[in-house]
Amino acid sequence: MPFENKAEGDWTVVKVTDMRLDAAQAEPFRKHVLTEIDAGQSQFVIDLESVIFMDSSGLGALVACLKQLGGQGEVRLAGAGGAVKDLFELTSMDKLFKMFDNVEAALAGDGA
Amino acid sequence: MRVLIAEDAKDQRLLLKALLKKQGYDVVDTENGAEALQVLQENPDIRLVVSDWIMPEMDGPELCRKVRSDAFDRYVYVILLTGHEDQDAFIQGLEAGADDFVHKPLNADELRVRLKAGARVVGLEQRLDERNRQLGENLEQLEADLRLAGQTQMSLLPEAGCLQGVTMEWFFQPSRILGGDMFGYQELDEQHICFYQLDVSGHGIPSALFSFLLHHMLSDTAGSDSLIKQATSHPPYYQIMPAPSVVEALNSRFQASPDHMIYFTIAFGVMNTQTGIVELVQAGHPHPLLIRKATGDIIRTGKGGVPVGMIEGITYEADCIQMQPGDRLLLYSDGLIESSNPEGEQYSVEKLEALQASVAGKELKEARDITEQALHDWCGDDRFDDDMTFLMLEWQPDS
Repeated sequence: MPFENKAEGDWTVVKVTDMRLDAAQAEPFRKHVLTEIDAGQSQFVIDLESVIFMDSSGLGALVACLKQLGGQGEVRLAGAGGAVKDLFELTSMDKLFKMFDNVEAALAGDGA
Repeated sequence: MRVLIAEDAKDQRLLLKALLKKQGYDVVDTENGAEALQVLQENPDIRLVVSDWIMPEMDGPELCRKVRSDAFDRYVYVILLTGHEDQDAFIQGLEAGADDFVHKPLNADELRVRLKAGARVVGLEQRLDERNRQLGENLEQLEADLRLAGQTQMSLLPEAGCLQGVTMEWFFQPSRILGGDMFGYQELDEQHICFYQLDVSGHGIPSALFSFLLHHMLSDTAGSDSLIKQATSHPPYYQIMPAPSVVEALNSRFQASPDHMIYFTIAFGVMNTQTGIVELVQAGHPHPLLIRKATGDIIRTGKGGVPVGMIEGITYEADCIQMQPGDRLLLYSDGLIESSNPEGEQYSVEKLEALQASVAGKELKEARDITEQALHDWCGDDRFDDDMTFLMLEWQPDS
């Protein structure tokens, strides 16, 4: 499984263990999180520390989760670095997601 | 079903023929392997063979080897007649490519069931062949359709040329036959032009269809629901829409759903060709490069923004750029800077900037050609992983 779930209080931390969140992994990722949302979960931290490459489909999958929540929940992104951070900057993802340096900061809700 | 017999002994041949005819087969008889092979080559509908083992000119095992060779284009089921009971002969026959064996002296019942098994396999093979043929035809049809759609896409692209003192050059290369990239430019009135370059997420047919639609919407400057130019009740009876409103209108028109995340990035600009002022919106798209003629400086333009169609209610901010005569703008898709060389290294914005600085003094057409060549050289062959598009503009007002 390229994604690992961990419950932290009300939050579900989803760790992407693959190095790439691209066309091949975006759909499984989207399904994975949407299943959690259907099961009633609404607060997510996506741990992207291991991801070194993301493309437009990976970006689409993250936003799909946000759209599925429809404002009734939150998705925080943690640990984006390098090319992933560049992509987030280019696409102004900070307007859609709160970004944190790591999972701890995301759970604490401060920093960014 | 037709069965071919290869048997050199006349009495055996006649007996075999009579037995098979009685069992309802249409029988063709030959006297050795060579003759049998020739009949098989001339009659592609024959797929079932009963052959003797030892024959002059070409024996049974050799006939098997011939029909199993690459030169033979179909599956033929071969039953060898054998008087041998020993293991070695059995293995030798199988190695030569025989499917089954019938022992001599012939037993009508044994022959009947073994042929029935053979006919079953042949029937299966024929159905597979037929299905493969149909698949091949369908694929050919699909590819022909795709090529046609690819030509349609190419026909939407404007010709290189000059609008109100703005010279345009471009490069467009879908990664497959069809791409999700698009660009365009046009006059809005006597002193305004607009231009854009966009990249729909994903590749192939869905992205291309979406890019066709966007092209259509961004070409509409006269319709009542044009996003770019709207009618007003007072002179000059039209209003050129600010670049951010155009992109915001597209965003509200095309919202992706969580189940179907298709969206696009775009750089869209409106230029006053008298003053050289460009209003540029960049939505998730790579920063367009401004190339200053006088200084050779390369400046990344655009104020950033979320890709279009991702989230409702996003506002966009225009970057206001004062062009100077001879200045250029380069709009490009991420396929350019993310294209990898054979070692896996990406081309990068930095390399693109350095290249543009080095060709800033050259004619626009030459700068375009050099840029295209650099991309080919980088990728190492003619095949690109992603759609690649760039649009170059140079402003040279009449003075």
